[in-house]
Amino acid sequence: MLGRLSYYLHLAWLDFTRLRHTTQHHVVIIAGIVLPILLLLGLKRGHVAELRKELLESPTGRQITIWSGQHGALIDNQCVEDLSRNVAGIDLVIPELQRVVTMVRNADGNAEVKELDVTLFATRPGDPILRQAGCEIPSGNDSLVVISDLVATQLGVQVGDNVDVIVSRTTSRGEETVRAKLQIASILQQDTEKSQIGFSTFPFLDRCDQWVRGFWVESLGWPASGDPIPARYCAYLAFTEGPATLTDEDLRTLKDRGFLAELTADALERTLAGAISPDKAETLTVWRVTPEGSTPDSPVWVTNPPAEFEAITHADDVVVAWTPPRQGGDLERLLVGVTLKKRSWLRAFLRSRSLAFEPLEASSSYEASPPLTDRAMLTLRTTRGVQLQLAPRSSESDEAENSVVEDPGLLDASGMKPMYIVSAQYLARLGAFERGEAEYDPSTGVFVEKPTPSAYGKARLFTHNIDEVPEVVEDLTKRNFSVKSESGRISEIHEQDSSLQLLVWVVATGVFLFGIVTVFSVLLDSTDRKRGVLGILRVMGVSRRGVFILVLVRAAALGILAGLLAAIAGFAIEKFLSWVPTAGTFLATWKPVVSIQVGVADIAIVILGAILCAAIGAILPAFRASRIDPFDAIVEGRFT
Amino acid sequence: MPSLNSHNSPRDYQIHIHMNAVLEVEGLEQRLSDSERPEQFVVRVPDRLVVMPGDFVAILGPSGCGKTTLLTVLGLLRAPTDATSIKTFRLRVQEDGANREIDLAHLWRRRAQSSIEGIRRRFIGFALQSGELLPALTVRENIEAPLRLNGWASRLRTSRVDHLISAFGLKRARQESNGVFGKPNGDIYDLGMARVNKLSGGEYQRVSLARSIAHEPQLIFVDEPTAALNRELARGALQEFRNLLDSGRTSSAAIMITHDEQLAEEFATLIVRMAPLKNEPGGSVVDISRVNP
Repeated sequence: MLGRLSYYLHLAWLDFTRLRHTTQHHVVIIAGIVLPILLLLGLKRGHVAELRKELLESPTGRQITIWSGQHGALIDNQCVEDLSRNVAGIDLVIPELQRVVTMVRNADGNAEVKELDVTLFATRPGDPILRQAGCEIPSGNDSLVVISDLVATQLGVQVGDNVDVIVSRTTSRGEETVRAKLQIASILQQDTEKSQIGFSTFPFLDRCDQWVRGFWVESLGWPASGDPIPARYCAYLAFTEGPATLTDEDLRTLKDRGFLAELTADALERTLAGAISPDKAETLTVWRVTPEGSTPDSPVWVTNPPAEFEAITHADDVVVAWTPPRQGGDLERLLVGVTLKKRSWLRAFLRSRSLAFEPLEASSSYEASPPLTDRAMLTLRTTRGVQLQLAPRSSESDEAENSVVEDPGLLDASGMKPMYIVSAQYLARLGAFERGEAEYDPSTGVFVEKPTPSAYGKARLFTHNIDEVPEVVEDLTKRNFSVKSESGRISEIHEQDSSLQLLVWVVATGVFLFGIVTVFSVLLDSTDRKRGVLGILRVMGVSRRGVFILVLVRAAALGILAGLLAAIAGFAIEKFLSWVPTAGTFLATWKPVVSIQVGVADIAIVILGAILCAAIGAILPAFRASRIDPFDAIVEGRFT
Repeated sequence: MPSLNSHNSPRDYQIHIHMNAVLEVEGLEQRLSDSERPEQFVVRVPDRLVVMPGDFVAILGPSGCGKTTLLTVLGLLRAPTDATSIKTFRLRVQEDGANREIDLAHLWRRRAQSSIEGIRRRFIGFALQSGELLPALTVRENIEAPLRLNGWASRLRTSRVDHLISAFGLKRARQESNGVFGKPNGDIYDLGMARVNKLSGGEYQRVSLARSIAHEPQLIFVDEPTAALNRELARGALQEFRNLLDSGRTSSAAIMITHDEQLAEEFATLIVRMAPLKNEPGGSVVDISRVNP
């Protein structure tokens, strides 16, 4: 049966191809029916393409500018990452970041050094605006910069040259500058307004911003602003003598301020790390003052100066900030951090009055007690792996050098151990560094604030294509961003596209139905003329189904050929209508230039439509052909 | 053909004949209606008509006596008017070396259209009045058509068609080719690849005859062979046809519709005469006689 079926198809094909003189006009008829549909589709596509052209050619079509819509909220790196990950359709986000820098052409030998103030804007690899200008910065290198042609001319540089970029900031110490070397990746040609601008990578400008805010930039070796972090303590020691101790009122006052005071029995605390001999310590009352809620496991860190406590209590107390001394490890001595005013009655209780418990603010010096003969640098290994170098403090006091030294070998835990003395602030900052609350700038030897993430007022983001803009805008609006984009124009184009599509489908349906009727009448006539042949086939034993298939397949072949003919004609018409004649010629005076774009999908639709049109129109004729009386058909066929 | 003498009685002889007959018809009455005429056209086969293997039957009669109508019923091209009233309508065929008897009246009563078509396709061949070749096909493709419809393998088809082209002399000398596309074989062109519209009348008729027997049918109908040809050409074609029939592997029979007495006498082994009906339009079989035994 399959063999017979394939033979029917073969017969239909032979009839179609060898007797084409009887069918070629059928092909033209069907092609003429579907060609207008193809042209309509092309016109619609061309019209919409014209509307979109400007938006497509310019990257601003898919650019969206966002501001945070919440008062005070800023766009930071985390926000940028969230948007890139969670908002579908976003291709690239570039926070708006700019900085005025001084660009210096490297002086080579006797070449003149030129300087110029340039405003650098942040960019990222894939920036469509720079890509359109042919100046996109490639990924993987943050030391590249794009400069405008004006800057290039004034500096006398070209692509591939290196320039120094000087960034400056103002601190308590005055104006500070740092330098970075950038290589010119490309030069931006400016058509109209010439400006002294450039584009550097977002990470580089972010680091500049970080440094200007006073943070240490480890990757570039740029120092922090020099101000150390405020010292943070979780305990204070309040010393009182005799009956003049803290009163209940003092305790209430402290409690009101959020501090608890309790007597301490800790030997180190009572003897101020052994600086006070236990005998003398017996006459002292030592209070431990801690922030409310602070526990040894969960300390609460505060930055209150000790003098504040002295001021609010009525007792004649001496308050020192207290960080437990460090011992063990590489340290041969106790590392003690205490700051005690020179004129303090507590000094009378010290084993050595000249112990350098002075308000030393210099962060990288220490005093040894008893003094060391070699006065070497002290190396501290921190828990974060950083090695700190402490220089011995240059002593101005002979008393310090000639202080009473007890035999270290005779000292025990209750006595004064040999110690390295640093300021209370230094030990507190060291602790903060090791807890991860601060960073250490080795260039200045200062514990500085950890850099906080940069935050930006606004950002530019780009979608993959302009059709995604409206949806992305809607998503961003829901996330409380203020948005500026071409969304309105794009939505309008989408609406026009939909309306035109509907119009095309309505017209195409009408044409298609008309086509079916036409094909039906044409094929009915054609089949009637072929009654004789069909009769012979039936006589030879071709079944009714076989005749039906024959006629239908022949019609489908007609449809395919008609569709192809319409496609060729459609292309030709498209080319002609889109062609712009030379200005001044005769054709240019009257030929309209019509935007018409025939796409592959349109051609496929038209060919399929032609096949369906022919096949559907052929159903009834094929059915009638399959029902003819074979012999009558032969007899009638003799007379046609 | 078995002889009377080899049997015990005429009745035994009759029984033997019927067991081997290719076609048996008795009691057939076909009525045709025409919207332009009030009366029906009637064709009758009142007596038993038995066609034996090897028979060349000539159905003779004047124009309008229903010869072609009878052909359409016997050739399974039309359903009998009343299949229930037919006494006998049987076809006996050889299939895969075995005999098979097909009760055509029963099939028509059951309206087994698909089976009827299959039987016609496999066991019956037609060489019609005007040849009726398929205009889109070449000579070879026309002859091959019944073979393809019956699922013959490619190699067998080729050899069968080559044999028939040769047997029917479907060749033309080079100087007579007149641009006909054919396969040259020295000075002679094989007309196998020629389109049928390039053939002469005689060639056309021979191709039609070749096609009718290509698939080795049991029964071949030839309708008015002289209608499109003069007698001499028709005689030539029929002679070749007859020779092939006689040399065929299957025990086929041919039924020729003609009004040419001379042709009938020359080729037929069984003459069936039809005469018009007296009181109504139509005709009936009035005589069946065996000749040229």
